[in-house]
Amino acid sequence: MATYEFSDAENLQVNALRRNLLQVSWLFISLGVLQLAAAFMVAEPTARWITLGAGILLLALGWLFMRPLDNFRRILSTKGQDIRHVIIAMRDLSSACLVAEVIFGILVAGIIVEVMRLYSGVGLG
Amino acid sequence: MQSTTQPRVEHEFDFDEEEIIVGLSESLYRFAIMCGVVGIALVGLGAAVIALGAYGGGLAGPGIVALGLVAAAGALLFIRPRASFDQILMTQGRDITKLIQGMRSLSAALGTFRWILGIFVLIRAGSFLLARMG
Repeated sequence: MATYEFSDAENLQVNALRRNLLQVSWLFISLGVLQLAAAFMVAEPTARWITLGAGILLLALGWLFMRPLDNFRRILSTKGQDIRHVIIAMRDLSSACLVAEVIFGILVAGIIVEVMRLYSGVGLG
Repeated sequence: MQSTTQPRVEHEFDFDEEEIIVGLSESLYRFAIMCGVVGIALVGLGAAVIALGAYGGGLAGPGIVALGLVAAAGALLFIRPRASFDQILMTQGRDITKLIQGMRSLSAALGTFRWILGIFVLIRAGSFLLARMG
């Protein structure tokens, strides 16, 4: 891959993206930890397994969104390999989005089930 | 003394690099769609909570509806970077400028998404604490 170095202004933009991505990753991890903790408080076995599974998926999502961060950091800290690093970071980000789609799908299914449970009188509320 | 500043020659992405950019562009689009679907589902849940007076009534229902609307609106932000990334493929030259434009849009989208996710975390933490105290 060609040798190319981003300018200072371009590096600033890469850093802004890296920072926002890092914060989103930590929020997914926080949500996963809360979900795992909540799983131990659920009495019903099925609901407990669903909560546990959601917690693990959210932790995995946090980790996946953290994967491109290393390459974004290398763009800023190394010289001449910026294109290679940005392409790897984009590939990792693409994988993270793919997993997020699956998790969002599960979340939508969960919301639909909860609406049905509410109407049948056995919802979480 | 005359200045001889030369314009910077931007990198032009090759076929393999463009394939990865297309992949990200399509993933972001699907991510945006799914984020919007979550928003609509939350609006539906909120409406059910309001109609049935579930979750203790009060602000729970309107809160879920508001969160759903914010999530659906936030989803639109993830569609914007796609235009910049697609420009890299459809046009010749200035690939890095378009890449940086795409990154700027993506960064803005993540900035908004961070707030939505932050509210989710706070709600989850609140419900966890309430359950612990109950």
